[in-house]
Amino acid sequence: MHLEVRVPERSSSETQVVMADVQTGAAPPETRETTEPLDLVRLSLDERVYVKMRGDRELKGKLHAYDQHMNMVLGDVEEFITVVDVNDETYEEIVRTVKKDHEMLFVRGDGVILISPPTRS
Amino acid sequence: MAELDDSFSGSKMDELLEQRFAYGNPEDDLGDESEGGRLLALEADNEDLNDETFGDVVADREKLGSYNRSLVRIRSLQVTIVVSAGDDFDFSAANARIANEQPNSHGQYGGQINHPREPRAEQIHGNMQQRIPESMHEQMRGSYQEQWESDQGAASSRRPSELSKDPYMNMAHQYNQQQHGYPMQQQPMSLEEIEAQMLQKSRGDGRPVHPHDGRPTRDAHGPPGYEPPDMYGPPNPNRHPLSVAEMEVALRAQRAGNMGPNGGTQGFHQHGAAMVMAVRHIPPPQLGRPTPNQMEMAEAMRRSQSPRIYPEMDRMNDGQNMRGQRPPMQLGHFLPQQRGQVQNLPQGYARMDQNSQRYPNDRRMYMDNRPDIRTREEKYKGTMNQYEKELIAKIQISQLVTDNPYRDDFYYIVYTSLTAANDASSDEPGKAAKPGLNWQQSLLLDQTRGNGPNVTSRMQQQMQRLIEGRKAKPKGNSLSLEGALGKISLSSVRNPRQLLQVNGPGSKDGKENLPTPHNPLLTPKQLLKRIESVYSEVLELEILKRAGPIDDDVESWNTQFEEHREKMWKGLGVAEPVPLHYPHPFAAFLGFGKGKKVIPRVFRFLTRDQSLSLISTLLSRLESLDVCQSTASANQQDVELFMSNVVPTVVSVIMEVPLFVVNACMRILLERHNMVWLAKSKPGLAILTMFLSRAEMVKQGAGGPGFQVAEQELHMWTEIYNFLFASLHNNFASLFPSSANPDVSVNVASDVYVWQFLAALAVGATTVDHQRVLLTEVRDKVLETARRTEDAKALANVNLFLNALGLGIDARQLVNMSGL
Repeated sequence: MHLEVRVPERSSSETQVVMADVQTGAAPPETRETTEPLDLVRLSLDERVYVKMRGDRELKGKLHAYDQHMNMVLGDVEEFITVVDVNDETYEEIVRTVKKDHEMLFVRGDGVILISPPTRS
Repeated sequence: MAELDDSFSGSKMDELLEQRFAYGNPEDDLGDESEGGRLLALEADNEDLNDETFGDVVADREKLGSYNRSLVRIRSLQVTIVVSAGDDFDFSAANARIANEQPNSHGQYGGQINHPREPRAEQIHGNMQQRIPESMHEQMRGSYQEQWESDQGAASSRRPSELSKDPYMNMAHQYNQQQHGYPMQQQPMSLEEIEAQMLQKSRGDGRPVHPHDGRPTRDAHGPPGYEPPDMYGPPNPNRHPLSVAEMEVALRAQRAGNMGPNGGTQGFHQHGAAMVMAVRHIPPPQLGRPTPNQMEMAEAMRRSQSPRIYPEMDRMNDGQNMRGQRPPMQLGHFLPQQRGQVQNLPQGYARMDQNSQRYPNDRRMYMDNRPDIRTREEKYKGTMNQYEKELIAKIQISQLVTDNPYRDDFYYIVYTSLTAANDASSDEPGKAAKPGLNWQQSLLLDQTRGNGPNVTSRMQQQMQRLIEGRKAKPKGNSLSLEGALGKISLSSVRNPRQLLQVNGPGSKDGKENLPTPHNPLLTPKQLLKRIESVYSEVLELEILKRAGPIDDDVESWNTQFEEHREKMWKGLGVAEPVPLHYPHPFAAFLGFGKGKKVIPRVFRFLTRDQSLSLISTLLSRLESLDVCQSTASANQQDVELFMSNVVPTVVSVIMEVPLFVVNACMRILLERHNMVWLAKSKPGLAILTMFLSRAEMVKQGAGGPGFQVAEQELHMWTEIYNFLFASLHNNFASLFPSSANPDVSVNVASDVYVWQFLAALAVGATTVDHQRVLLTEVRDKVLETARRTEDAKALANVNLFLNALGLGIDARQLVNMSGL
């Protein structure tokens, strides 16, 4: 079942999770007019995003949910891991990319470096 | 030390190991040296030694007197002694032990009166790890040496005349005298000594048990690496050659015996002798079951001093292969597994010894070393009983109990309600056992109570009490103890640590909100912002709707409701008067997937007028919709989204609408768009179909009660219909996307809409001409589709159309009729 949920943003004292498109709402009303940095991430909800992460990893997927820690739920994700192999003898460095696919992925926020719309390439 | 080298050969090691702790005939090792090669024996006064004998390190050992210096210099070689640094001569310890002693009635020291024949298994066993002070070691050697030497000539004499006292006691006496000045009691030569002599004799003639001589024992003197100056003095007549093995054994026995609270020296000697004797001469019957004594001795000997011994023993065996002459019985005191190792490993004995040192648990052969392969469940089953498990679970769950699940546990609630709604139809036995209880309560529920009438309410009372109790003692955000510096912040699910300092709304620095230039062309960012704002409002409205007026305050509820609805409407941008040649924001709104998805939810809160307005805007802007573009740019997914979200919503509205509304809508469509183009897109087709069918419904009186179809409307409708038909004339066949796309699988699905549209057209046909034209144009298509009898869906589509035509035939008949 394809369940998508969007919850209004709450005051900072409560845990915030913002996801896409819910059938029923929940929290007490508090909508902000000003744009905070995280609001920009909100604009990317339900869109494909490019996430750069620690450990030389990059993700491209559809952003389903995020929160103030930048924990994210991504769908249809392609993960690119950049690996540098060093030849023992010649000290030659070979850079290669490992690609993995995930149908649904939860990303812990402290590994996220940046989020952006995907580069059209 | 010229002749000292450590070129051990395998065979030598074999030998050594065989008599591992029953040290081989030391004389064998001395074979290459003449009779002159003897161990420096312990002498009574060590007069031949001086301060320089052993170098500086030894000098401080003088405190123990000359005995300490009379080291048995075993011809040890470059053996690294496993001696803990700085701990070689445990003089102080030994001294301390003895220093505090007072001789008992027999002038003996030690907590126990050491009878020579008494096995001191317990002591040994308990204190195997300690080291016997070197002094004792040397003393033992010396004593044995003395004894052996004295027994050389004597056949069976027991007490050497030259020794006024028992050699052991002589030594011990002197030792103790030096220490404490207490005279030692003389003791007769022990049985062990006798045995030693016998053993020596059994070893063969001419090989007196001579200890090495003349070579200082490196290991005896200090940390590894220290090499006292070599001393090859002439054999001291007082030095009694004693097999190194024996001395080691004795030493260990001594050490073992020394472990007692007050190790008595005398007992050590005797006991050591006992051990030595026992080791050296084990009668065959004992082979199978070594006595504890022997076991302990074997243990002791295997300990730290043994690495030192091996090279010595190798040295001792230099030049002579005594393997054949070793009494096989000496193997008896090996553990069976070690024996096996001995035979299998020509090299690496030292390693093995170190292994056994590392794992000194010698009961391995009696232990069950099978791996525990039980599953984790089997291993730990029964650790806690049911009550305990439930108690722990309750403690954990009680922390999670909440009075407002929608706030604390939102996603789970929504998920369960949705899945329950889905499963309500399919599942007969519902899984929701207890009504009105959330999962925490049901888990905490006492299952033994059974289904009472008040289960739910009782449970909820309990929950309330829990929650109240928890609220009554707030722990706060941070913890600071008295006298401690700093605060510890307690962060939990309810109280997450704030990572960013963000200025919230309304906390501006006083800057004015500068008016932003308004551009009718919305950037994608602005569009997205709008969409998100619409979402927010929708959510608020839903909350309001769910919660209902709080405390019956309908007024404020209403105002709030209206407020949000207005904002939502504004966000939609439907009402904005945008000139027709400008792109409408609403059309762009629907360009995003999430924009499409929010429409059904928006509609629930729109007034009738608003919804009609929305629809009309939608219709007038159809051509700018992304989904209505040509198939090249239109995304399949987006089209699907549109069809599944927007269209049904509109349909539901239209189905309630009178004919004149339909007319108006159709007119918008016809004026604004090219029908052919419109009919080529799925949404357009769907919309047209919708209107057509609605019109027919109204015409046939199925529009609902009280719907009077005015003549004018009908007339208008007929005109519209004709107009539509005329514009599609000659193009019906091209409506089918399958003609452009040879892919069969896609076609059937997309053809459905076309067939539906055609059917709707056919139903609404006002004249026979229409029908004829329709049939003619799509005839080929009909036939082709009808021929695909294997495809049920295609057949259904065709039949739909044919039925709509009212010809009264179905696909099969048509095919037959055509003769194909």
